[in-house]
Amino acid sequence: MKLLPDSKQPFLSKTRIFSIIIFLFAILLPLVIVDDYFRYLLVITAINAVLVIGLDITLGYAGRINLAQAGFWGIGAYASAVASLNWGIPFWGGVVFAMILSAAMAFFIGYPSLKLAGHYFVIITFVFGIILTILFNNLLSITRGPMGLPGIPPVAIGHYQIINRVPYYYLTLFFILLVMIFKYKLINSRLGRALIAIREGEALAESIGINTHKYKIFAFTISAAIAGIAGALYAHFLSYIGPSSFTFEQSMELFTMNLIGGAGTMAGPIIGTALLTVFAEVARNFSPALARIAFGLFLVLAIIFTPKGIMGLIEKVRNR
Amino acid sequence: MNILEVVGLTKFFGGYKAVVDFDMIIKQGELLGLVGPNGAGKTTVFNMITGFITPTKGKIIFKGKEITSLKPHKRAALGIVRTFQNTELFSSLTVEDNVTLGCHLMEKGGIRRFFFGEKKDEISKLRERVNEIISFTGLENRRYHRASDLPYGEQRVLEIAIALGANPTLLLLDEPVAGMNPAETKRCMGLLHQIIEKGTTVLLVEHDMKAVMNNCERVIVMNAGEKLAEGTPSYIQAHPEVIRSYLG
Repeated sequence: MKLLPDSKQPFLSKTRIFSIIIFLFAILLPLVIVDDYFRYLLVITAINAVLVIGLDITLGYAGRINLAQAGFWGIGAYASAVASLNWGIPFWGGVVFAMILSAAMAFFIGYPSLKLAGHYFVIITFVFGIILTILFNNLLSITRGPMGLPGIPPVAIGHYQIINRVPYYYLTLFFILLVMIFKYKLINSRLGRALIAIREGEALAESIGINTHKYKIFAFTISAAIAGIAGALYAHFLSYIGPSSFTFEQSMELFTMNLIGGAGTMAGPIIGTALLTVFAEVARNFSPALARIAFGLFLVLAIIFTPKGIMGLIEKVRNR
Repeated sequence: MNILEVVGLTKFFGGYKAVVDFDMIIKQGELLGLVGPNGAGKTTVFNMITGFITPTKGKIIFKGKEITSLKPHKRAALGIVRTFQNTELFSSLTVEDNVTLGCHLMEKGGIRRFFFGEKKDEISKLRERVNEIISFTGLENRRYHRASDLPYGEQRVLEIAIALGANPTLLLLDEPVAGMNPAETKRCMGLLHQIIEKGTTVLLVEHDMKAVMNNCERVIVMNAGEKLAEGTPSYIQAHPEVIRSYLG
């Protein structure tokens, strides 16, 4: 991708046509996948995709490893669940509340910790993710601890309630579309270019007038806000949430999906999520421990052989 | 007119006195050389002027305004731009992209531009500026090469090109010709003179005496964190202290 913007871009560029085809394919998927369990998996994949697209803004653009994405996801899920259970706020309000709360937490954590060098930031997100899991388990008055929160009402559009899996998949797809458009705008803006500069060389970025601290906070906060959306989607889909979903292991899986698909690309997070979510489900039916090991193995292999993930491979073949 | 004034600049790293009570004036439009043996404190002074290190004591005044506690990006916005001793580039990006990122300060932000894109004349202004810098630095035929694929000499030139994107009034170069062959050094120095002709002031920190003596109008010699001598190259070359501690 070229960074220098062009004023004469064709309306239907190759990338745009390609994106539309992929999106149509995604719309038609439930026609092919008729099994109820696989439709469930489809929705989970789509929700994971929202998470990884969000994560990619910190990981792929600002170039900072963030191991708290599942924690922010949890904040979003609990926020919208509590909003609808305790205060009767509908899903649409819950999403906004979830985004604001996740983003606020990210700002609070990011402001001091993004002043530190990269590896310290990784440790802080790692610890923060674990602290969140402990809080979800122990803030009994809000989260009911390990018992979780049951009975979260379904999403309603007017009088129509989204209970079935296929319409819920379309709802999630709608959010994926929104998030993708947002991300596309982001990476083609001054903010996106500043993030790429920070990823490529932070000291150099600072020396040419980029407020690196501010932009890193932006990226981290946006990632968390998007995780908040995914949290609300998750809570209202399962109608039950418990602390066991939002763990460090989940953050690590999201990180692996992003890296294997290709960090810092538009399509990478979606490819990585689709492949690995399905793989994880299938592998878990054989042996959950084996699935974990395989994830670790994939991560190591990807880092050694294709640091830019599957998208990096595709680009290599294309340029040949 | 003085563009930059440094008064009593001091930096201790723990018990180590890197720079002690250092005074310096940079005049508008000059090419000033800062030389000294390894460990003399040149790079520390350099880092304090650009804001990458905070001084223990002392003041830095740029165009009459004190900037001692400003962050590096704020100083860049005022016009103080630097390069690095160990070539810093956006190495996996092309030359064009490197220069584009360098022009960050001339880009405008805001919600409206975020969602609806930049205005056409803003885009064409940015493209013009990028083209101008690339042809000015003679990197035209490298435009679509990855920065990391360039030969060393051109990487250093690209570093200067990125800095020019920020439109500096005071450009600080940390050993730009270190490791260059004579032809590359000549080309780089030629570029520096062109930059000065355009009205930019340049501070050149160098280890290599020869390049400085041949090109600078004024030279400051540092040794062990203190100023040893200051003057024209011929004065410096005849200075007994300098000869004793450095030229040997």
